[in-house]
Amino acid sequence: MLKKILFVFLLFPFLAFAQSKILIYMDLKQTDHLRAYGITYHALEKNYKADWLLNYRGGSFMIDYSNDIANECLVEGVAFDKLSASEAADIYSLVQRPDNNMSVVRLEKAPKIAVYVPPSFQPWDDAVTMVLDYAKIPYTKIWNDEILRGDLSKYDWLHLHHEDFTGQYGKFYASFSNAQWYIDNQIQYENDAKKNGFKKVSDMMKTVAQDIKNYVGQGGFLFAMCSATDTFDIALAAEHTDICAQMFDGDPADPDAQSKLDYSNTLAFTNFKLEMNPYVYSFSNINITPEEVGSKENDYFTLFDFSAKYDPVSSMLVQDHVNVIHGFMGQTTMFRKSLIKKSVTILGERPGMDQVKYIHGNYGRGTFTFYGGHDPEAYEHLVGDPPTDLSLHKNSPGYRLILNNILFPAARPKKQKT
Amino acid sequence: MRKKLFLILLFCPVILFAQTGGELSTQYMLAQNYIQAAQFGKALPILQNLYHLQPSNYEYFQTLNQTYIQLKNYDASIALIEERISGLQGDINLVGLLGTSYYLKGNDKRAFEVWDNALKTFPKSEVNYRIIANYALQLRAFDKAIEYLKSGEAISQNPQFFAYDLANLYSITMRYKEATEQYCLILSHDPNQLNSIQSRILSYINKPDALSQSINVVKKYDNGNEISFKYLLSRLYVQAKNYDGAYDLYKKIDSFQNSQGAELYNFGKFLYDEKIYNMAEKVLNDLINKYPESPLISYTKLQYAKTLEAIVEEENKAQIPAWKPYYLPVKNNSSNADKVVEAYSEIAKIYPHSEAANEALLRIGEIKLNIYNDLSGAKELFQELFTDAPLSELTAEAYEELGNGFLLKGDLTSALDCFQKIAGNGRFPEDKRNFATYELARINMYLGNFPKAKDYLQSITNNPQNSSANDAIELSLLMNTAQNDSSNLVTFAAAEFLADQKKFNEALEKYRTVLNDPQKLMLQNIAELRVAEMEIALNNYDSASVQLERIAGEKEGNIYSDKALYLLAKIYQFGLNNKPKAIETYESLLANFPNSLYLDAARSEILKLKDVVNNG
Repeated sequence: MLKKILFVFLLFPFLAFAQSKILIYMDLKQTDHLRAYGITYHALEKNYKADWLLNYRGGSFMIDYSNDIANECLVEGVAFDKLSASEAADIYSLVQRPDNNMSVVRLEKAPKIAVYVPPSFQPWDDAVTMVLDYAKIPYTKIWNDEILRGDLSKYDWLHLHHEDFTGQYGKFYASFSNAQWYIDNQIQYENDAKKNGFKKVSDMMKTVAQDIKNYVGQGGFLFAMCSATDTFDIALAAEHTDICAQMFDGDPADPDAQSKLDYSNTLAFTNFKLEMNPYVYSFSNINITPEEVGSKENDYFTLFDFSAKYDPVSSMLVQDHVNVIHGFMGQTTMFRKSLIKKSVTILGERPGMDQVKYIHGNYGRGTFTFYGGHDPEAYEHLVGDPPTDLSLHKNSPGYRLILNNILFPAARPKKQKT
Repeated sequence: MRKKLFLILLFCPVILFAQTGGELSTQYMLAQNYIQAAQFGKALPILQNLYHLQPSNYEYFQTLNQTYIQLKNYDASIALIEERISGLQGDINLVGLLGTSYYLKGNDKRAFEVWDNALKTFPKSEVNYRIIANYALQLRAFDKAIEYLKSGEAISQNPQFFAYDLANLYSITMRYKEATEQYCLILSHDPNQLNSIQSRILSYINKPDALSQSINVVKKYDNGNEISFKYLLSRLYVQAKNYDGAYDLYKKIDSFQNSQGAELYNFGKFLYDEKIYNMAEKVLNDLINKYPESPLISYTKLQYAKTLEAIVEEENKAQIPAWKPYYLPVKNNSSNADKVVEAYSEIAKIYPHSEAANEALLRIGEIKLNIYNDLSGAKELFQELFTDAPLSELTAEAYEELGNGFLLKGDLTSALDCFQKIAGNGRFPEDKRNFATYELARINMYLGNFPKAKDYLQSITNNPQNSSANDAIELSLLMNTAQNDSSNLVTFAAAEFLADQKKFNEALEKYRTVLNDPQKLMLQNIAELRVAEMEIALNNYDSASVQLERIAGEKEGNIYSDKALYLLAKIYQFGLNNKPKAIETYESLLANFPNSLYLDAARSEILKLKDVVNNG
């Protein structure tokens, strides 16, 4: 009898542990997809076990049950089911069946997030900081000083948004050179360059881009949107030449800059042509122009379907409750397919066209993801437009793609059988 | 023959020159086309040749120099400029260009040396300093540009000649104190520049420390009778929320300008618009006392009355326990209200039969009703309005206020009359007429005229767009479901009437009667809730809590169970000040009633409460 009792007591914690789970389903029934990521992130911070069920009900999260997490879901308006151990086991069993394109990825730890943001006022909003704030995911703002002194190694994940790594101040010269924010911005960059020992802002930005590339090479996760995608690669390619006109860095651009570009130094793009006219609001032919995009009504992109069991990384990045998503513009809206390196994986594109929205690739021990466009819920987010109220877009599939990237560094994909 | 030969010889150089000039011009156009196509390498030999042919042509020189710079061939540029300088002593622009080429080459030291030496050797002219400063500015060498401008200022008979440039440079280099100094220098010489200077200073005062630095500088200049500095300083004080300081300055401005209060009136109006009511009241009151004969006195009094009314409204809002569904009337300290009445009365007297007077009458009537509880006084005032402006929107408002007043006093006939006057007048706004119709339905319910009440409600619900439709639907549901239980419906209606009159104890008894009747049918749920609401109104939080917990426990069995839980959380939050319990109760609402209408409000309260708990 005593043995029996002892046996029951020994098993008790496991039974209790296995008793219940929280399933945060991510299909169309979810009430707030964006905050669901925040809940999962917080669960990881509190050392709860969390699994990402790839392709199961829109890429659901399964977390050990606790009143703490359940309450947080209730308060944040995130729909969930409380599952018994057997119900949870049924789901795991379904997900792991070989004939289903589903998989389980264990999320290990809450990644440390850094967002690259200039300290000065910017007359536009950053979709990533907005969604991180909305989902209540903590992050640290960093800028050139922190990167140049080597602070990137403190973070698992780095986000870049509407930045210009070429040192041309976003090529806003023609429209905004007399605007106070532009003048202040230029002064701030120049002072920062001076402080860090660079004569020109463009030289500082090239070094910053190279440092970020090295961070990726050493295992960092880089996510970039809008103009931070193509200008990052352009800055890397232009390491040994001057592509900035006189109004940007005080001296003329190298007339042979185009021929001196080194495409082997870039992460994602190759063979692109620079736009050297300082009055044109474009950096190169990587970006798909608004004329090429066509009408807003027809602007949709499609996410690729990857094998969840054999390609979990790409699968994680495309988890969504829909796979056709409304497009959105940006200074860099989409990428020209013919200029994307072969080694890069295309995650989302406009089918049948040369227009790619969402790409992913590896460099060294790290990875990078580029996502075209500025704000997934503001089709044309113009300079000076008010920020998007994400409480009106709780189920935004476009914003979900950003948040997939945030949890992606937390994942420990299963080793594949060889 | 000799003559012919002479003429040919005379014209020959001209013909030759004309041909060469045309060719050169064509060559130059070709070079420019290459430049526009960014093919500087192709433009270069053409320009070199042109310059060789006509070294005195400044355009060729300048284009050639620019092409060297575009090709980053700075040594060639320097050689070209130095060669030209040697032939053309005394051209400060060439020195500027030479410094630029050295700077672009990366030799800042030599660039500054070239410029410094030139300014030492050239005649001491403020124009020369400005020219060189502009070259430095183009290269964004701001500190050097400031240095040259300061040197120019030192030798100038007219220091303000440099002030705009210096101020601009100081502001972009974030030296706001110095920038403001320069702007003040300009203002001291030309007070007409006030608007321009004020807008320039205001463009940077949001930067860290800029406002305090600017105030200190302007204060230093505001030491005499110069009015422009007082305007500027008062504006900066307002930005710094130093309203007393700004007011003192406005008093001085008004006095210096002899504007009989016009400046003070503007300031008072500005404060009102910014919702700084207490200060606005002070300013306007002083104005009325100091300038009783001012041409602006009527506007001032109207503004003063509005300001006092805003203060009274804010006081009332702060005292009302708005979280309760029903609450006892709040005793108001009517000293401010007296002042409002006095101020509005004066307006009504000064401008009889005007729109302003009508508005004044309405406001006084509202105060009499809501603060003095003086129904007959209000009625008397409103009568004037009904006679003078029978079709005005203000009249509809007055009827509505009066109808509510009669309801509170229990005079249903008079209330009915008031609301009928609104509902039956097609000239009144539609939302006023809909609300009046809804009130007519309620009054008929209180009177036991249920079919008539339902007719009124139907006329509202026929148009779901109108603002009273939701209330009308709710009341219709109640009356339709309880129509077979008419005795209890009469008791319930009587209880509702008592609750409207704020006779909460008596209402409580009536609601309990409904609850205790074994015949009770559909009225039970709402009567249970009302009992709790009456207990809350009477501050009986314990018994209200018990009642609400019981209702909430019925879950799907009671359509008000989620509302009961929400009210219970409110009791903990505001009545008992038990924040953890309030959070727990709101969370319970979220957990047990996932489809409740109160979810968003509960979430928002939880977050607020957690914030308060976590931040002490």
